Amino acid sequence: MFDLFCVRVGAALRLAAFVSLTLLSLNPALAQVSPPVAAASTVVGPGELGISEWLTRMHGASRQRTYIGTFVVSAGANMSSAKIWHVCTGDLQMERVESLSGQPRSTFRRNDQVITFLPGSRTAVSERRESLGLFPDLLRATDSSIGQHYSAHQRGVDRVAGLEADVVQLQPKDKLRFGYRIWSEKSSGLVMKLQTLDVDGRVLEQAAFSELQMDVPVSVAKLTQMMENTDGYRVDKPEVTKTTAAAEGWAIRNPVAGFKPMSCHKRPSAGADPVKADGAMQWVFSDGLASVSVFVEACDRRRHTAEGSMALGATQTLTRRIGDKNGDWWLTVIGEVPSSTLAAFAQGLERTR
Amino acid sequence: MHDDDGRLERISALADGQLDPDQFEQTIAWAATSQEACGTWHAYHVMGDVLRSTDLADCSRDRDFVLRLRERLTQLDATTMAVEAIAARSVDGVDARPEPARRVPMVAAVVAPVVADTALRGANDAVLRWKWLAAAASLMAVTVLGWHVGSVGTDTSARLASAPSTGAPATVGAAVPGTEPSVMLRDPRLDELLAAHRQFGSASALQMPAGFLRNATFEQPGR
Repeated sequence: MFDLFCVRVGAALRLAAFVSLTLLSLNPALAQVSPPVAAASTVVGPGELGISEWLTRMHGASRQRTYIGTFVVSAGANMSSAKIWHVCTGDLQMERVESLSGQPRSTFRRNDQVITFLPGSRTAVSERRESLGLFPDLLRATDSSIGQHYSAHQRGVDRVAGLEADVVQLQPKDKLRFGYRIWSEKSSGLVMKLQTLDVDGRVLEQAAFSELQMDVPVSVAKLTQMMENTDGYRVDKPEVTKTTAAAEGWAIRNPVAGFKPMSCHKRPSAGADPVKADGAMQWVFSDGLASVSVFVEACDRRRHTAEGSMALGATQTLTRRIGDKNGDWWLTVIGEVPSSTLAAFAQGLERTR
Repeated sequence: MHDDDGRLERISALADGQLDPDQFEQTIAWAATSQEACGTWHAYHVMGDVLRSTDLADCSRDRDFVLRLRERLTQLDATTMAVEAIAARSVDGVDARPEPARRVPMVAAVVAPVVADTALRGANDAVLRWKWLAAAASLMAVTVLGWHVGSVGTDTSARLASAPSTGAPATVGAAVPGTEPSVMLRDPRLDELLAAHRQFGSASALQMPAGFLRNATFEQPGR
């Protein structure tokens, strides 16, 4: 497979091939399921990487490099920051995120296992995030729409946190999605800074390392010990049930271009009245870069009163009451897309029974 | 009076576990029969909770919140006054405005100065009751404003930002390019769905590492 891959894309993609090969060698399971990722790429010019190659390179950096840094996220007037410890060895990745702003909290990640400690309430939320393992599949040739809906353009070189970085713009090809400007560290490809841009190119939100030390010693054993030490904490494990939209009686009449269904869950809400909150369906769509969650639950007229749309940085929300012959439903659509895209999801949703 | 002070001090010592057995018995007997003693006992515990909790003791956010709220209300007042002036000139003389639109501006105008004044003093004042009054008044104003937004319908453009995880709605003041200034509110249920979106909905090739770090850094622990 990799012979074919190299012939097709030529010398400019050798770097991506190297990264892909490294990824596959790190994780045998991926080697069994992943066709060559570069097959999904758009046509690239000499010396210029396509969008899939850029994404592969960026992703590879988090699998190959150890670092400690300070990460800052800003959206509108709000700013949050956290100290980051990241370590990888073999196919194991571990991360510690210690909040420096807002309420104290510590998040630990071991591959797709995540636990968040909230010292204020002595609570630890333990969960498995399936989306963290999705990357290779998102670039698979037959499934990917990234290259159809975005194009990559290199915008020169800049410095972030004292390190040189390639600036890459991921430009959407329509107004259904936001664009991204990414600062990718020159030697490793690590994402140093990420801006989400609205349809007019204005920055909605940005996340960046303000300080970063690469290849510093971080102990896996110590992070593991900290992650597993839940003494004195009540451990919550949000329960979810896998389902399908069809089984729940829902369909999208007019699919939104480029967005494919990724998963569907039913989940009660942690901490809420289980009777009232039970049964909220979460149907997730993605175009490879942006994702949208469609939540549907039975309408409770006492709680569900404020229809409307809101935004938190790049994250937009839309809430709406919809009715059918069996009664009213409460629809909440959340995603890192323009509000008009959320409206398209809301208008396309229909009851099938 | 002096005796009362002495007995109230014993309530304080009782809360701190410093009474000898005789004093303990006397003080408990008094606390069981006196409304004043019960109130004092409760007040000492509230003070203790506040002093031990960094979240409750920190009132800088109250001040920031009130400043943003006051700024937003200034804009809101100008808009609603204009709307009222137009509605008052209706041809048939019947007030066609919806019920919330008639009531909210007046309520907000009355509440806002009270909130701003008390909360600003509360932020700098060691006297505890001002903080509680400010918090209660702030909540009242926010609830009224939230109702105003909800009544407008699906065209309303409200905005979200970091909110305390107290379970109460709150307003914020982030402006986003290309949108009209609008009132903002947080809904605890919406916070839960946002958390679910981050957990299961972030299906993006940018998720690793930037997306995950973004969510973990930005995440509100309101779950």
